[in-house]
Amino acid sequence: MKRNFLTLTVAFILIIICVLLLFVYQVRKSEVAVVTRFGKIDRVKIEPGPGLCWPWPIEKVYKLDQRIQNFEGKFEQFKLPDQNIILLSVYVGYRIDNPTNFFAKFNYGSIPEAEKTLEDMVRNAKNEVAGQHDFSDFVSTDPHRMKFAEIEDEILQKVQKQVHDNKYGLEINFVQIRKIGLPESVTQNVFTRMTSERQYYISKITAQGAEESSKIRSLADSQAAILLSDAEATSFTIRGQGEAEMMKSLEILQQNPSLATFNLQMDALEPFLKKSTLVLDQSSSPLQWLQQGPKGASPSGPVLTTNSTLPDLTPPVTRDP
Amino acid sequence: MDPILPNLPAPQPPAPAAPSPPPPAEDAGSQALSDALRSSFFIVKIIMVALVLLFLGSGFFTVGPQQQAIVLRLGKPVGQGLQALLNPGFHWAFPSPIDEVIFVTNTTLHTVDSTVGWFQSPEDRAKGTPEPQMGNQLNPATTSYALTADTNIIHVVGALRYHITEPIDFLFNFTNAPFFITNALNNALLFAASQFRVDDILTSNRLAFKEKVTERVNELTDAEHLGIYIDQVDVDASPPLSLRNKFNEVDQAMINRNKLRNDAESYATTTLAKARGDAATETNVAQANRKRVVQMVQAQADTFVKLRGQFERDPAFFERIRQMAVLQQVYSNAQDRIIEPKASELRLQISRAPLEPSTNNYVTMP
Repeated sequence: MKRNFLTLTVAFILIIICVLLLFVYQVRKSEVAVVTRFGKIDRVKIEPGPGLCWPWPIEKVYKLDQRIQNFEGKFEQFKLPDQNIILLSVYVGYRIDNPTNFFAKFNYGSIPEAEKTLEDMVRNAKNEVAGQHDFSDFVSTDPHRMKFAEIEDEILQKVQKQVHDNKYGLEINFVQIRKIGLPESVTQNVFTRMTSERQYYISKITAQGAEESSKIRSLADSQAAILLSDAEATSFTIRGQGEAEMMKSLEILQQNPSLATFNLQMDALEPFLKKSTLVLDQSSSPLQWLQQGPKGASPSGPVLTTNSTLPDLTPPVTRDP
Repeated sequence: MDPILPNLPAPQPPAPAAPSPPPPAEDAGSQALSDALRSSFFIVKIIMVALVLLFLGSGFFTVGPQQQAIVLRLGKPVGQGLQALLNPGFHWAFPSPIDEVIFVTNTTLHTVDSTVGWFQSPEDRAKGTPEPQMGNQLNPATTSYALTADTNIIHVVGALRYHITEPIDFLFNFTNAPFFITNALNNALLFAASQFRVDDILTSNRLAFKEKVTERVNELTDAEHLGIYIDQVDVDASPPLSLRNKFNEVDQAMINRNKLRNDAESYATTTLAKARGDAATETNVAQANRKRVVQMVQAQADTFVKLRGQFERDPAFFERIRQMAVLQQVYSNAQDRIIEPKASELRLQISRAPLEPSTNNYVTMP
């Protein structure tokens, strides 16, 4: 009997496990479950946890990912109202909002089918929005003209509206521009313009350099010239003061001009003839004493040679009797 | 679906065999059969117990030092909010299919590279593939770039580092969060490039550009409650490859301009210093001259006063005496003295030292 009980318990547990596997399904936190009875939607389970259902073929459980999913649209070209052509691709974030609608619209909740539909909607929305914006709305130095984020918003709203109107059971979370480009032939024009722009900068910068440099140099030169002329003026004043002071002494000298002149001449001679070469006649002034007696003195002045070129070198002997 | 299921039905066959022992069987054959059945049933029981233990034991798992884990019991997180996170250590959960353990690496930095805007794919960039040759046209299908505010073409690339702060958000809000972050970075690069001039991005305002990218990425990821913290965004930019030389020439021109400016500045400094020195010399010389002249004339006047009396008494004698005194000085100070014999011819070659060139090289303003 005891052994029977154990056997029965084990069997019972096994049966329970089998029944649970047949009748219970799990929903992960990231998922929603759609339960169909004979192929028709019966109920939806959004909360995570276990749920009950009849086994196949009566009911069938489909699980759908409830998290935000991404997809990238195609990189397509658009003509803008200002005749520019731009290439854009966007990426879209969406999640399943109403599983019942989603399941019904897209063949048992097929994500690839949903993305195909979404892609068409996004393309249309992009087309419409791009048709209302000039190129300067995409790129601009002026933050007020720049409508990058607004363009994304407009596409988002258009897609959202369409999704809502068609009851796709989706929520569109965001539409963002992912890639931007220009047609190949236009890039060549852009490059040509960029090249000439660079060339312009090069010559502008070079000219600037020359201009600044000469400005700085000439300013320095003029400042230097001013400094020097100031100094010359100062030194002129100083010399003038010196001359004024000198006048007092000159008044004394004027009392006997001939003595004063004589003195000055004598004083000038001495330093002037320093280190010169003297060529003397044997009969010149003190030398005549070497040959003659003091009576036959016939002094003639020394002939002088110097390094200097003072023209008038009148020796002091002219006064000699 | 469940690996344990095929094993469990195995013990069932012995169950119907069990009722056989009670009727008293005397013959040795059935006794032996009963013994054999009993011992095999015992072995089956041991196997069953071992299987149950193995089943429960498979629920142990370790959370690594830089990980956290979430247990989903029948699909539902165990615990609310942050309490659902299991910290590093040894843990137990019911084995599949009851519980499911999801690991999150949270403390380490994750890196994401931008996938648009550069002339190479991120893989080629990482490998260090040499830069491709570019003509003067770019095929938008093969080469990616961004447009700047002044409608120039520029290549930009970004790398973003983040760590997960809210693992639950990170796991359960997005199917592919890293993909979203990559695209947020792509979008931010294009967004920022479209409002900066090409020169701002490349040189003068690099930092502001980077800040704009960071700001935009943060905006986008915050809006979607991604549960990450962005630690760092690095951006790099390059002019189109076929125009790189032109851009380098502009840089070179700027360097030249700065060099010219610096040269001029140093010229100005030296010129002014020299002018100041010369000016000081000029006034000092004037000062000294003034003093010398005044003193000299003063001395003259002093001598004059002393000699005046003698001179007025006999001017001729006075002059003769003075003359001889000077002559004496002149003769003794002379470097060479040549005494010319009478009535002979003397030839002297007189050479002059050349004048020294002027050292004053100021360019004075008119």
